[in-house]
Amino acid sequence: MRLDWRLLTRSATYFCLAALATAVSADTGYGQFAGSALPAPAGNAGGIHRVYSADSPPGVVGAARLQRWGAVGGYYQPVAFRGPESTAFAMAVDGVFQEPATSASPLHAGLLVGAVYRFKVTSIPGYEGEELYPTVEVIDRTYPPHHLAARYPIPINLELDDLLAALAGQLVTRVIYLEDATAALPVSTTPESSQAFDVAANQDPLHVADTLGRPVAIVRIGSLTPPSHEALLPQFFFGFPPWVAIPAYQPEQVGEARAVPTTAAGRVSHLNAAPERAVTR
Amino acid sequence: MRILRPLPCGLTPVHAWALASTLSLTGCAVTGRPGTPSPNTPAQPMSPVATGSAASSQRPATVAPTGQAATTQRQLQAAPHESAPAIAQVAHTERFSDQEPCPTCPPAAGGAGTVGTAHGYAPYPAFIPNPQGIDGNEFLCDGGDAPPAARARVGDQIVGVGLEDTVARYTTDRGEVNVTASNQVCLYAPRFGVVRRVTGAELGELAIGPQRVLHRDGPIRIEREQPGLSVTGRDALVLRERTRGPDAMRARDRGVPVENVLQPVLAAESLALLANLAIINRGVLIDRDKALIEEASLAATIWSVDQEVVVAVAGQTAATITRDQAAHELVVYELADAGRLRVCKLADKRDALPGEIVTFVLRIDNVGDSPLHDIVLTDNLTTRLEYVPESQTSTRVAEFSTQENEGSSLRLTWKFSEELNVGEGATVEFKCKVR
Repeated sequence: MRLDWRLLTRSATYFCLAALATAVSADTGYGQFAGSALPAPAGNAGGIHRVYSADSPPGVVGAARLQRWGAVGGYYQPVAFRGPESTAFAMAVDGVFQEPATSASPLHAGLLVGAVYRFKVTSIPGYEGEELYPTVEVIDRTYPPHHLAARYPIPINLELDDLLAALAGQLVTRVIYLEDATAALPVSTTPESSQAFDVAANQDPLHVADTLGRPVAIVRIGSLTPPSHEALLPQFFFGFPPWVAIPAYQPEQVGEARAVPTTAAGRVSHLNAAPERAVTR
Repeated sequence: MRILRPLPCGLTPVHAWALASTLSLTGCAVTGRPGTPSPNTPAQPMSPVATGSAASSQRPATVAPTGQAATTQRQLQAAPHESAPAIAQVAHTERFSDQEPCPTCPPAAGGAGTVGTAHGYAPYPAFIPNPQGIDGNEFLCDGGDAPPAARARVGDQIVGVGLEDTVARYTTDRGEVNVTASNQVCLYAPRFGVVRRVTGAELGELAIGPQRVLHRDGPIRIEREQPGLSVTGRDALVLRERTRGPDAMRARDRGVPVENVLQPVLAAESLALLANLAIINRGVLIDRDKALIEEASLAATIWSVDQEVVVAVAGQTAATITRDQAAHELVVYELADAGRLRVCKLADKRDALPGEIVTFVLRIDNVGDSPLHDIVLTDNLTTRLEYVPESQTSTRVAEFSTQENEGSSLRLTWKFSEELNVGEGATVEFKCKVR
């Protein structure tokens, strides 16, 4: 049998190069971007490629959640909008923004998991007259006890820094997560407070939030004006997904007849209504 | 609050799905962090009305077009009575929450407006664990004794008391030092955080480079979550030496004739006697041994009543010795029961927003047969519970002290100076602010 020394030498060379590349990628974390001058995203260190990130188009992460197990589809997740001082929020119905609600009476809405909603931010302190049109994407739900869904909404507490950065032309991505009970921060909070971690631009806030708890919503702030052409409105509003207006929470009165609360638009809301069948049983 | 970088966290969220989900705030059964719903719970009443355009909905077929009630057939069947207010039911067909609640579920103890367990979750098939993905992290639990188990050490010390644990140490009349845990109390108190990223042309240029240094890699969380396992191992030996020594066993036997019931003693004597018989030694049956054989057979019958003693002489089977196998005497020794302490923990709320005050009540009772003394009750508050200063009260004389714990909260300790007689109890009350 005659050995092909040329072939053996070439194979050995390739093997050594492959081993060297593996060692370099393991040491530097450039595994995904071998040969590239760009550093790997910090959130993807360890050779893990995450399919979804906060950079995914709006609606992708939430739609992926709907494909997974659980009673998520069709659930209207309560969400509360708050901002600094006099900031007002308004949701849209059929492409028309409703009467804005200030922080004194925060806007509470039930949003479908997986849908993307466009809302309007006005009356920004010090920047009255300016408007922002952020989006909120609910990517998971909470599981509150009986009849307490409206009392524990997902808080979307925007800070003045967020609004100013957006007005300056930057894109602010806020990933809201349910805090891991075993890794809770020992700080006093209120429903109005917002404990925000700032991450670097090359980090994935969705990934970071996933390490700190369970991400439930993504807010993207950056849009300054709605489209001028009517044909672009469905795209701007992401298909006009339905939502639910939620009045302020009222403690349940056992044994007494209660009126079903109505929203400002005169429509019946059920989110914080008493579970009659549970009470009367 | 603004924190510039996230905490290093390499842990995955701990979900105690396998634990029991009953959140009994008035019972004293030890329960686990919620996460597994009970099958005997009512439906989740999430059936709002769509105010947006249903025509463009993602689920136009299941969303009611107006605020009119569009009750499904299943929900109509679940309606308790006709006089109930009209509730719009939309978009919830084929969900677990639409299933009817169990008609035989008893109302939760002390639960206002609930049926079944304290927190009404929808029923679920038994073969699917946690089908709805209920997250235990939405609950704030306190009480019980999570592993590693709490153990008593010399003095008044109790080790192995982790966050959320509530245990009591006591000494019985026999000298035994025991540690018992309370039940677990859980509140629905979710807390949310935000991870923010600002991107733009300016920040994008600056971001490339040393950001990997800021990556949250570090052992800080691991250090916090794995305290003192080796310490617990050493404590176990101390406890055994003190409480399981043979001296203590003798001291506790108040004249009970234990020797009379020890079977091996009689068995040994019987065997020694039989060893001297000629039929055992040489295989020869002599008249002198017959009386002893008969007596020995009696003893053998007593100790093995289901067997017979058969003697064969020269190939002839002797008469079978039959005995009255009924018990001639029944002696029941009632040893004095050791003292036992029951610790019951209650909370005045079942849910709390951050910033609200929750009152906890700890009730200890001597449910044993002997007085208890040197009682030390301790509650290691979890991170999200902040003790309200000067808010504790006790119905019995107790020395109260606090100590900062690993969760940046406090460990509350009460040392009761008085003896707790049989049937007596004490109540401790304190307030906490939910962080």
